[in-house]
Amino acid sequence: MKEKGLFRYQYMIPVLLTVALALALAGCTKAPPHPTIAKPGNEVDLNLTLPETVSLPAETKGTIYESVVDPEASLERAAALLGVSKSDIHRKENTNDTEKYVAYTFPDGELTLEQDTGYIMYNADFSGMAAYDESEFPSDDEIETMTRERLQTILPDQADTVRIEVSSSTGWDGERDGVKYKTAHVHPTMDGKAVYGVYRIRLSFDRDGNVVELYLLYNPVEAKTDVSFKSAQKLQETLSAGDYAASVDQALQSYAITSAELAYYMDADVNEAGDFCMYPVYILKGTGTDRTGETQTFDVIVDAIQ
Amino acid sequence: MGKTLHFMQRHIKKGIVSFLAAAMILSAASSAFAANAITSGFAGINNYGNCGHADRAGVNYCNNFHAGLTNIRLSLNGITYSRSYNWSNNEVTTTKIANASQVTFFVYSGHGVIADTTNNALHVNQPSSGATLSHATLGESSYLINLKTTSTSFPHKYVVLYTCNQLMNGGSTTKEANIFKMLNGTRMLFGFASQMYLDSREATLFTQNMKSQTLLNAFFNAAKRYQTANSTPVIARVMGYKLAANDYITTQYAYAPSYLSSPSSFGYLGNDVTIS
Repeated sequence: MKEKGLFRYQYMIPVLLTVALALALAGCTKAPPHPTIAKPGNEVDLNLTLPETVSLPAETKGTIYESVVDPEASLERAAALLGVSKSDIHRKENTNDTEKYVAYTFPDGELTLEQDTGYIMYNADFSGMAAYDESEFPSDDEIETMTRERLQTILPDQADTVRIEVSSSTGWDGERDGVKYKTAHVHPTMDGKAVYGVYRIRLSFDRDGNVVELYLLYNPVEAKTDVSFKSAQKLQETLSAGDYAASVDQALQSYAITSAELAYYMDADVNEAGDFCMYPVYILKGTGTDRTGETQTFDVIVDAIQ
Repeated sequence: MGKTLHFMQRHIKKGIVSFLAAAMILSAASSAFAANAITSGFAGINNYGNCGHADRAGVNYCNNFHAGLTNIRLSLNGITYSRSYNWSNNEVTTTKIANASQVTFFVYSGHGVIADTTNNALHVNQPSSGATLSHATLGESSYLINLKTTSTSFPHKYVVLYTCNQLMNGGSTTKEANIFKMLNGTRMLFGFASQMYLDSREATLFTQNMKSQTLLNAFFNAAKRYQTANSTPVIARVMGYKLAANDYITTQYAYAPSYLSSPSSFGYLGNDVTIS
C-alpha cells in the first residue's frame, strides 16, 4: 500500500517540475514597468501619424532607471541647497504628519519630506512678502550663479551645465507692485537627454539672496532593467490609440509631426506596483496652425518601451 | 410707591440689558468656537468614451479630495465634514454642474477647453440631453457637452476646476470679466491658466497642505509638486474675493458677495505660479 502511494508521487514529479519551469520562465519574461505619463486636462482632436519622412532614433534598446530613495541623503541635499548644516534639520513631531508626509524644522522654517520618494518641499510664508523694484534684486545671471554654486554637491557632474531658467514672481504687496522673489528652475538631464515628467529642483531667493522656497524633486537614479523600444509600427498603434500626452492647448487646423527623439520621463510619484522609475520615451515634435492662422509648435510624449 | 416702582423698573432694565449682553457674548463665543461645517460636491470624469479620447483621472482626483477632507475632519478639531453629492463619469452633465446645490467645496476634474475668445468650457462626456452620445456627431463644441464660462454661476464657497484653461483669458478683458462673473458667493476659484496635467495625487497633497497652510498656498504648493513641466509651462492661478487670500480650512468664513455686486472686491489672489 505504502509503495503504491510513493509510486503515485513519482508520477507527480514531472508535473511539478513543469510548473516550476513555467513559473521560472514567467519570471524571466516579466513585463517591464511602463511610465505613468500624466495626461493633459484638455481635449484637442489630433489624428497623429508618424510620417515616413520622420525616422525614429537609431537606438533600439535602452534602460529604465530606478530612483534611489534615501531620505537622509535627501535631507543632506536640502541642507546644501538651503545653505544650512544637515545637523540643523530636525524631525518635528507634528500631528499633521502622515505615512507619506513628515515635517522637519530648520533655523528658517519647516520643510516636508515625502518618505516614499525622498522628495522635499519648503515654502516661506509668501503672504506678507514685500515687493521691490527689480533693480534691488540680484540679476537673473546672479541667481543662476548662486544656484549653480549650491548645486555643486547635489549635481556635481551637471552643476555647471544643467539647464536653469530664472523667473520673477511679481505682485502687489499692499503698497506697491514689484518683484517678491526670483526662482531658479533646474532641469537635470539623464545620459545627456531631457527628462520630462517631474524631475526638477525649484529654488527661490528673496532680495537678500535667502532661500524662500525649495522643491527638491530629484533623486539620483540607478539602472533597473534594459528594454527594447517600440518599432515605428508599434509607435503608430500607440498614437492611434490616443495613448500619449500632447502639449496642444487649442484645436489646430493642420499639423504634422516633424521629428522624433528619445528622452526620459520621470514618474511623478511611486506607482501602484511600488516602482518609482525614469523611463525612455519618444518625444515627437510637431507644428501646426491654430484658428487664427498662427504657427504653433507642440510635442508629444509617448512611452517608448515595447 | 412711585420711587419704588422707578427703582424696580431700573433694576428690570438693568437685568434685561445684562441678559442681552450675556446672550450676545455667549452667541459670539459660540460663533467663534463653532465647528466649521464643511460640505463638498464632486464632478469627476475618468471615462471619455464618447469622445474616443484617452481617459483622464478626474474621478480619482475627486475621490482623493474627499479622502483628504475626511482626513482633515479626523485630524483637526472643530471641523465637521460631509459629502453632499459625488457625480462621476456619465453622471456629470453640464446641466448638473450648472444647477449644483451650494456646497463649501465644489470640485470639477476632467477636460476643459478654450471655447472661443470670450468663453472657456468644462467639457464633459455625457450630453445633457438627447439620444446622441457621440461627440463626433454632436460636434465637439456642442453646448450639450460644454458648459461655457458665461453659462456658469457658482454659488459655492470654494471652487476647484482641476482641468485646463478655465482661468485663461488670452489677454481679453471681456473673457477675464466673464470668468469673474462666474463667482456668485465664491470666495476662491482655483484653477489653471494654461494646459495642465491631471495627477490625482495632487488632491491628496492639496488637502494635506490645508492642515497648516492657507487654502491659497495649499493649492499652489500642490501644483508645484505634481504639475508636469513639459515643453510649455503650466500656470496655476487663483481668482476670487480679495479678503479670502488668507483663508484657512479651520475657520468658517461667510460666502463672498457676487462679483457683479462688488467687482472691486475681487481680483487675482497671490501670484500666478508657473511650473516650468
